Amino acid sequence: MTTKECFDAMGADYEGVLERFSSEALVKKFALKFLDDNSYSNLEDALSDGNVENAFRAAHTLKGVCLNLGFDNLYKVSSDITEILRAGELTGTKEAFEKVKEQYNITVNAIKAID
Amino acid sequence: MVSDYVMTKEQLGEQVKSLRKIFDVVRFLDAKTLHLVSDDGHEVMCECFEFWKKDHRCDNCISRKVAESKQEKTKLEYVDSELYQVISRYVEVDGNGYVMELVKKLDSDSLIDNEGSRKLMDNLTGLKHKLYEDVLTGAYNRRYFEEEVKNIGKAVGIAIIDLDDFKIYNDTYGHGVGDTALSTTAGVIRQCIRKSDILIRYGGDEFLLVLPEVKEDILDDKLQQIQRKIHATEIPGYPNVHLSVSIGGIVCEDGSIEEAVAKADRLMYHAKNKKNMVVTEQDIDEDINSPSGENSYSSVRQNILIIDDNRTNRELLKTMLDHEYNVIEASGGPEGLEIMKAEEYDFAVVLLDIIMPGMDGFSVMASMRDDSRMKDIPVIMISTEDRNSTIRKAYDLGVADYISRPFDSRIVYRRVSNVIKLYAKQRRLMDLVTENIQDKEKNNQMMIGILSHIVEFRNGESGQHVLHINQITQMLLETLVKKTDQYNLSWHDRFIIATASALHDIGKIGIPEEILNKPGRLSDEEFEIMKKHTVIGEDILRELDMYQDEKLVQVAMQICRSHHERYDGKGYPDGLKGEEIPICAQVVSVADVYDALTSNRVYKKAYSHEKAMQMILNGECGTFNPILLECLIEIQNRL
Repeated sequence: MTTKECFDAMGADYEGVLERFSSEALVKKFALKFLDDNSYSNLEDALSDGNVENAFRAAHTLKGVCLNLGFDNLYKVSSDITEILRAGELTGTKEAFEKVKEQYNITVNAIKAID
Repeated sequence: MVSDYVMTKEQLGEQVKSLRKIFDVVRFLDAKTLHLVSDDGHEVMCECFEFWKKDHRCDNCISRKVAESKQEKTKLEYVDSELYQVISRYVEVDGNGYVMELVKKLDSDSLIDNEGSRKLMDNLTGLKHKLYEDVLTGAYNRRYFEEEVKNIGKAVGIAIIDLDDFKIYNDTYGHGVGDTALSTTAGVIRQCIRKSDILIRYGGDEFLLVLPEVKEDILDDKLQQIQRKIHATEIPGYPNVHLSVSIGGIVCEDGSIEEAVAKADRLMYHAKNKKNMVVTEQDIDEDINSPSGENSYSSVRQNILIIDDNRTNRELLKTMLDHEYNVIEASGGPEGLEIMKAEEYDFAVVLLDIIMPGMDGFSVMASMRDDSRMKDIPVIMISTEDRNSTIRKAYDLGVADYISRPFDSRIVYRRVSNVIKLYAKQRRLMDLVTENIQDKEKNNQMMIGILSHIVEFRNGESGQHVLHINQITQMLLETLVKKTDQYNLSWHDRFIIATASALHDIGKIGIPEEILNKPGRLSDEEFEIMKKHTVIGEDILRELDMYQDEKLVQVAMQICRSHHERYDGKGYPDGLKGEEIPICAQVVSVADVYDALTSNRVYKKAYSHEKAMQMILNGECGTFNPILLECLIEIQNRL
């Protein structure tokens, strides 16, 4: 799969990122780097520990990374969970995290399929 | 053709017949008199220029030249609005010399095409020269570049030479100095280049140098030479103007000049980071091969610190910036602060994330503002936090700019480079202003020093007295404000008093020399005259009408009048008592007495420090403010 096909598959804005990065190679490089990004696992860990503060920061970081990389779908759900956590509450985070997890898996699988 | 100018009358007749078919006018001038000659050889009493509706000979009369050189010439001539071509040929008919003039009207509308017309105009009027010359520097102007150089289409060396701090000099010293700096620079460059090289004033303070057929290392040497020579050049009368240039140079192989100019411009900006230096493509190549090399291109690169806990974000920013900057990363606030405190790098800007575990960006900002090593480094906030309250708080803490996500590589680069340039300029401006103020201050001090020395010189004293009084006064005042705030003396007040202290004895200029320099004791009468130096000093200053409102003059007047008053009211000229005596005069009187005791005078030898202290504290030189005596005791080890 090409990088563009990967972005289409995960509901990401390829054209937008290309416009900002002004190089196809860079878009691909940073999409692949996302596989090593630890903000998702940090979020997962913090939630299972019940640490709202850490969870907020991790979600916030994930949201920021997705915004930069143009991962629109994952950005949307991580943004939602960030706002819930910002209020300092764990209520509702379980459902919100399920959505993040779903989009994260779609995203990661798509990236792994890049040639 | 020229060789067959000899002919008989018959041959001429034949020729004229056929020429008349082509030319509007065929006529003859006598080669000796240049008068018109009719076909049958008779001179016609008519000046040739009447034909052209002129009342004098043409300035460009070719017939006369032809009569002398016996060659053929062609010219153009206007009659009214019609253009004529004139061909003058020398002919010899039966041994007599004539100039044959052939005149043909030209069709001015289809005469030549636009390009040709421009060239013709340029040639005829010498306008080309003016059109392409920069009046101020004598270099070519931008127009010349656009019209003649841009499409030169061959391998050339290109250099952008930018005058450092030109705007600052222009604003500080006036346009005259700015203009001189520019013309001087152009002059130096011209001395260094070949005739075939082209110097163009490309922008306000920017020159473009085009060097045909030059090798990279030669270009580099040449540019280094220019840079050094300009730096060694002075502008007469302006010792504070240190001319220097930043140069970016590149060899353009394929002849696409505009691209090469853009590249040279970017290299020049690298040089601008340090100023007074040359950066060529060679430097950058070398830098890639030897990243640790001294004096290599990396030494010109400015350092940027990125503080962000997320690696992906750091790498993304680094990718967007590391073609131009040396990027250092920190994964959190404490690490970032450590790197800055270590002072290994001189950071041009810090990119700071706000939401980070442990120490957030706001705390990092606060720590930076409290530390002199970091407080002047500009900070750009890079956070996903786009809520107004967060951005406002960041600005309140003094961030220079805010870059929102998603990051756009060009916008990130631009914002960062703008902030760096702005802060760098501000720093240079501050340095220059400081240097200037210090210079002016020094001049002021010097003038006051000279003035008071005139008095001392007449008095047979050394110039040291004024210097000592200034120092002792300063020390006494510093100690005084630590002891009490009853006198309400600001730093500026103290500075003024110390400066004005130099003038305390200027009134002595009005005292007759025989009294002033009398080696023995003064008679009562003489002493009365001597005492007058206090009021004379005050009067001299009072008559300086235009400076009456100046604090320095007001304080100096008080010092002059009252520096011989004593705390117990036994001094002169007014017998003021205690705090009636202005504090400035009180302080100077202590300083004056101490220095007079410890120096040689015409009437006495110098006393030791101990003896002088003893005499003052015992009241042998009159009574002083007790608190000032305490101050004197405190500073005595430094006297």
